[in-house]
Amino acid sequence: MSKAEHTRGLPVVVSGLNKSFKDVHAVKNLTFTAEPGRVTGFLGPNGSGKTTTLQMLLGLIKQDSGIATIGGKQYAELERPGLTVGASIAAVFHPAHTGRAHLDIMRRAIGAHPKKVAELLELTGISAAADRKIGGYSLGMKQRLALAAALLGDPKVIVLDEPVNGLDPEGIRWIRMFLRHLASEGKTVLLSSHMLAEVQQTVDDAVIIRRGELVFSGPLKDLGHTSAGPFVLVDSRDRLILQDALVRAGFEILGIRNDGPMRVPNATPAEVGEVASIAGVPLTHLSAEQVDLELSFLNLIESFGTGESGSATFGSATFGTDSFGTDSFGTDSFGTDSSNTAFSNTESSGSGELGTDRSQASNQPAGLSQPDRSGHSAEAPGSPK
Amino acid sequence: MSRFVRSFSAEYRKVLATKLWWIMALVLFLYTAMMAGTFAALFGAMSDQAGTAAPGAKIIYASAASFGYVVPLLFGAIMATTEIRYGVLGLAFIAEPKREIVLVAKLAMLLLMGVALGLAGVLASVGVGAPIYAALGGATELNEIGVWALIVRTVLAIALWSIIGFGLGLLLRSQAVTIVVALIFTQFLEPILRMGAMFWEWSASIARFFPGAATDSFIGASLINDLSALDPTAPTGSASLTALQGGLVLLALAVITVLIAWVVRWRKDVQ
Repeated sequence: MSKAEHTRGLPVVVSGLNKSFKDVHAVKNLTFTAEPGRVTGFLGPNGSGKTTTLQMLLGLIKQDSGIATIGGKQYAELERPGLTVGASIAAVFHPAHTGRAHLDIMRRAIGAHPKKVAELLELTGISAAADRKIGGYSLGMKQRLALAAALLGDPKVIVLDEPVNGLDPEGIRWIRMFLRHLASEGKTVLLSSHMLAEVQQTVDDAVIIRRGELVFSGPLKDLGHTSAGPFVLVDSRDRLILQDALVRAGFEILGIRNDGPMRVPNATPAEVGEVASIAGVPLTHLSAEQVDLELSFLNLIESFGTGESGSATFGSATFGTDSFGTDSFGTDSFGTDSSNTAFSNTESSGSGELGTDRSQASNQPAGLSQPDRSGHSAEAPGSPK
Repeated sequence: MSRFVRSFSAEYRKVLATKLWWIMALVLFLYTAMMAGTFAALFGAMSDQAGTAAPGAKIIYASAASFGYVVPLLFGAIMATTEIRYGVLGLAFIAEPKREIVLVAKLAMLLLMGVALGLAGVLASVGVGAPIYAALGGATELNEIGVWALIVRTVLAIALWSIIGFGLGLLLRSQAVTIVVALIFTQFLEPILRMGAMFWEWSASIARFFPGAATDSFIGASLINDLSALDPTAPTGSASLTALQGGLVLLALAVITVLIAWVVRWRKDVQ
């Protein structure tokens, strides 16, 4: 490896990857790049093809077409793959091995220095459990051990499959700082997760897939722009007059039959306030809804492709809000011609009401667990994990 | 080469990380001690009638492999199926993406551990069998080079069986199924078929290629073959294989199982 490559870092480039398992097209023409010096979050529901993609990147499974490279080379072609890339897929271990034995086996296999074992046990905070069998480790300890193993070779590229899965909030905070530090050293960090909320503060860039297809790729901060927002929350004692005024002014209204404020997409509070003022309706509430990345994420992973009954069941089953469905009919009856692309997208896919459901639900404290549940419902039957 | 050394080092450490190797060595030692001890007592008691021509000592020493070969078979099978069972094969392939290197390293380690098992076996068959046999008046023949060559072949046969077990484990994948198949075949099916096959020439000429029969031929001592030699009604045209032929059959069995496992399992997608 040349000196230039050292300083430049090694990007991970996935280009046109395809993979099918029997009847499931697990990864479809997937293309993205994870840049050095940045933490890239590879996001999508369970069964969306994240692990499959990482397995292809590491040569564990063979793609049907396309190529995945690290610094321009396929993993198996790297001079010292184990020292170049530190990887953990699915955090699996032999349960009868001790943590120390596991690291010793792995460091022998890649040819790292023996002292790295104790060093990384210390660094990942599992020294005390090092001589216990891994079968007795908690999920959080296994995640730390997997991370320790990935770092044995002091790699320039770190690939982690669901590294925060099973970590407690303290553990998530710890791994966040850890991965941010690694990226700050110029390393390429690629991590997968089905929970945007858990990696939101860790990743710079997001690559989002749904059913094996790319639905978003770019800086995380751009993610909000693809959602149906921003919304204005507005309410009045005389909602019918307000609705009428807004619709005549060309706005769409969601959540009409809710107890809470109605939601107006693609509007500013000033615009809505003006409409209300002209109509002479006193407002009881007027505010701008914060752009919610989680909401954007959920919109992306569920609204692309076909609106499936499975997803619809999720919408009402999870939040138990039949009234939301009624709302969306109300929206439809207004027949507002929405210019928002994201929304026309959801409508054309036949799951327009879902957008509304999630928008409401995202304000609930239970929001953290949403991606998980959505992941289950969105999972293709028999899809590999 | 250095890549091989790294993989071998990891595989070696992996074997030492669990108790399996010494449990297997202990099992083989105890099982062989029991068999060799029994034969030594039996042959020793018969030694005054059979005379010096009796192959008693050789059968006693060979019992480590001719009866104990199920142990290295299970050892190899468990080594293969454990990694499949816990889904950790991918770890080795991430560390060394050139899978042929991992496979060769594993085979080298299995041969090494197989030799270690073999030594535990002959330690029992000679260490326990010879004193008992000698005490009962049998000739231990330990001053004969041919007997020591037989002991070396016994160790080699045990090492080869660990490779066969590994290939079998990869092919069958399920640990439970592999263990059951190995036990049923070696302990019931093959001995019964071998005994039954002696009655007809055509079947006997096939049965001598059976893995256990080939093992006996390779080592150069067989209780089952000698039993048929004692029976004057047995067909004569079905002489057992020579040591070289037996060794080649055993080697072929190891190579073929591993090659098939390579093609249908090892180089395929790892989930």
